[in-house]
Amino acid sequence: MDGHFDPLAELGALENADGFVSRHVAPSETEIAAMLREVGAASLDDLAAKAVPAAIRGAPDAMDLPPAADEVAVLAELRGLAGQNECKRSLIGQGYYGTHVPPVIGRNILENPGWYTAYTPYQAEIAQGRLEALLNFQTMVCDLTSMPIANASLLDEATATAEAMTMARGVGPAPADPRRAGDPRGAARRPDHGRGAGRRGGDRRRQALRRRAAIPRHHGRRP
Amino acid sequence: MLQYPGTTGAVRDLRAEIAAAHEAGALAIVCADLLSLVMLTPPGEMGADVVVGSAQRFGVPMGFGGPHAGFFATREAFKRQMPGRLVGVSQDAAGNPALRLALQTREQHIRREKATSNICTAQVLLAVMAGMYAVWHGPEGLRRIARRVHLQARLLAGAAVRAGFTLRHPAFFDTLTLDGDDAAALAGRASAAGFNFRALPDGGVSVALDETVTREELGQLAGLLGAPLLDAAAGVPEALVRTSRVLTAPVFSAYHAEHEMLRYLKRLEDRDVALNRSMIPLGSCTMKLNATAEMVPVSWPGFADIHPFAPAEQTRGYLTLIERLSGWLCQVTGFAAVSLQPNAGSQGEYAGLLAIRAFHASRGEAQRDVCLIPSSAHGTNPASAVMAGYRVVVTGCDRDGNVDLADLRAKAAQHEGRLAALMVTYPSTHGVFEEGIRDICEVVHRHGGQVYMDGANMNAQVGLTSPASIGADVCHLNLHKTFCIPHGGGGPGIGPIGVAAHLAPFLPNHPMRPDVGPASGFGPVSAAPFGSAGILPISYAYIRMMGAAGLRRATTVAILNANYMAARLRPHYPVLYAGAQGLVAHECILDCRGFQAEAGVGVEDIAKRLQDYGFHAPTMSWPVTGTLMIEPTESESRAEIDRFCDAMIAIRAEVAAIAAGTLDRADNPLKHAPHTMGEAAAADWPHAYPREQAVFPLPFVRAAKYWPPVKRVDNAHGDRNLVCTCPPMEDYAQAAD
Ligand SMILES: Cc1ncc(COP(=O)(O)O)c(C=O)c1O
Repeated sequence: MDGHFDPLAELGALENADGFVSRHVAPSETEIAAMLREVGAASLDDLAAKAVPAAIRGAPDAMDLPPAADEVAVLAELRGLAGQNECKRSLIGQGYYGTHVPPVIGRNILENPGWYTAYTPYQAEIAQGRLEALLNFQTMVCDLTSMPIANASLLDEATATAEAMTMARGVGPAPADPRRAGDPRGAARRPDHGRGAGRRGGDRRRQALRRRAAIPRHHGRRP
Repeated sequence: MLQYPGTTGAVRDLRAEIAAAHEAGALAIVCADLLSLVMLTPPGEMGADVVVGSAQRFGVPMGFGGPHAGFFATREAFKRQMPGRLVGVSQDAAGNPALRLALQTREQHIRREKATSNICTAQVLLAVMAGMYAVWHGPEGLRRIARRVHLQARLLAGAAVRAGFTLRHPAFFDTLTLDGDDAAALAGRASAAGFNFRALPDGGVSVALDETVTREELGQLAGLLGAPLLDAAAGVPEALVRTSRVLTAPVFSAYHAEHEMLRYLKRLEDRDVALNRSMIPLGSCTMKLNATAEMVPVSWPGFADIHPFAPAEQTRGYLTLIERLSGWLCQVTGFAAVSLQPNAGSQGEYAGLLAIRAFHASRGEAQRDVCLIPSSAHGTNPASAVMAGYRVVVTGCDRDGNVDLADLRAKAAQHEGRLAALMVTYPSTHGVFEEGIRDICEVVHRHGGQVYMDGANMNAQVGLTSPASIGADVCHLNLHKTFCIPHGGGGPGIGPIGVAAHLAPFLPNHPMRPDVGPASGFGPVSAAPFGSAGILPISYAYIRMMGAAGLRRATTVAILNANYMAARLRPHYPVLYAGAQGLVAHECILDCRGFQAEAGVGVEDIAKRLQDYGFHAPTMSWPVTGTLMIEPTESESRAEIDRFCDAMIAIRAEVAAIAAGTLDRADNPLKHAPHTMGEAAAADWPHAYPREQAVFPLPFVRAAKYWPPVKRVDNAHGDRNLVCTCPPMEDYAQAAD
């Protein structure tokens, strides 16, 4: 060891407080250097300067945030915050109730990246698993409410209620109910004969509106 | 609109009111509690037109207000007007059953200026959990849970009557409201004993029971009332007892043994592509790492088991977390104040636009109702504007996808006096840092308007620039994009808004929590005061572990990765749009339109072919039809990016082979993609190209092959024969015949 050895500085480096950054940002220094050459930039700063217009570029220290802390430290900090919440038995109701998350669901869905990191199932072929799970949800809602059709979720009860009001205003007076005749779910399997109020105006008007809309359609695949 | 049971617990027969509503030409909307419907006559049998509610108590923690799945059920006649996504049964190219999102061309997607809903990100993960709760418990299990909760309530009601309280509602399911001289004091006694009751402003007190209440706790509750648990009050009246069966589909009876359930969940999971399999390069969606350490605290009881209306002094940890995170997001956006209440980007847009409305009104300019939106905007923008009561005026874009400044000037001048706002995405939806953004904002301000910045592309800004720096007045952030909340298969999300100081008085607030938001705010946009608070620890952990330098590095590497991909793919695909220096921002658009004439190949064929390689396609045909928009994010290594580029280049070679005639125009691996294990293993291989090329197109695919479980799904078939529930028993019986 030479005389300049500063054990506390060395310890700080070994503690690796910003170690998470290189877990989150995947490319290594070597990879970054190679990719920078490929795109014609000298450094990450140079790339940022080239990509972001000068007029809006911020100072490098524009964000005043606490210094990075590692996973262990941040989990400890969050545990402390969680500890400041008092888990009294809330029997308040108003749309929120105690419930047991079945452990088999907690661990295998809520805590499972195979479920939580997926995207909206627009690419149906590679989303059959969660599509089936959502079909279960829809079926459960249909059964319990005794309605023929249910969607795959909205943001919360309050916005669902607001959506219902808006829809009601849009569709006008209630039509005669075609499904009274039999099993509610059977109705969903019959082709729509255009009797419902929802069909007022029909396809031709819809096409005209489509033509008029200046913004292109998304084909249902928007992000 | 009727609540069933009512908020203070009343169970009433709704038939007469619903009939009267229909008589008057109105629709009847019922907000219902799912667990009670196991025992009560369901709203559908009472004639309801729409039934909505929350699926929270089906195994989703309270999380201080969310996230939870809201549900929406309606009649067949309104299927095209129903907001949100709908899963339906269809078939694949081989005629096998396959699922997909149904009716994607419904009006809300098409009539953008006339939209009635702006929902995009919803609550898929939570809906999946709630659905699986029903699968796990089945009809018998749910009936047992509902009857148990009901019997507890009846016993407690018996004790309450014995103790001299009056039951406000003699007919109830799980919630009692007690009146009497002692009621006001009761809530205080309960609190001292560790229970939160709901003290009503009129002096009554409500107690809502649930499946977590134990026999011992029930005894404690009776003790608080001052009488023993001896007899059960009536509860649900005879006339409202449900007689129809529930959950008759086989799936709800097949998985009650844990091994069966475990394997069912595994089977479903294995059918899907998620980030634990391969990169998901969806432009505008920012599918970055959702680190395990960020996720862990979400399940801790100290975050999960907190009621949103628990007294503030019991939620100090949450309030500290919220205050810090809000402050950090102010630093990120350069704004003065932040509201975490909106549950998705769409709700952030709605909230921000309402804030702008309130701002104009406060200055005596309530007539300002024109919202300018560039034609390149995301569909939620005009939908939110319409919902917030604006008139949408579309402004054009130039050939490079940038806002056409001349058109913007003209429209701003034309609507001078009525101009309320411009909604603009930055970097643009085309993935470009528009040079003219400050001019754009300046034009709007000069004509009295406010600038709303859609923050979906914030991952290209953090630490390099900010919404405040570009000249915006308000923006939303998608914490489920830039700040690591996982997409959950289509939700949850959080769409906080940041505002400049002059808009801070107009942020959302909440009638139940006067301490949330400014008193001068316009009201809430979510049911819970802090929206989906339960998942805020994820974004908190991310920012805390990255620090300012780490976040800046993430942004720069996101830009680097996108430009690296653009550079690798440019020799093979035209890359549309770039900034002044020839660089893209954090995403790039590949033009595939030429392939149609060249080889009869559409962008969908490429998307489906990528599935044979185990990849999820980039964003398809948005914002430009016939293109693919790729966003790698900073969390993809060079190796993974190279794998994806190799796949894209190999696909391009197949397109070229079709054009050259070496592959058949109709019978080629692109047109028949994806290929399933079943067809690869079949004795008969009917195609003009080899099996190996179909299923192992590159060596890396062999090492960890993902088999798409179905062939290409036929969307039109499913829409013609709409089935949006699990097949009933009869279908299985028929199949067996
Ligand atoms: C540009 C843009 N704006 C708005 C949204 C809507 O956000 P959310 O899905 O969170 O409602 C999206 C996202 O998916 C988007 O890409």
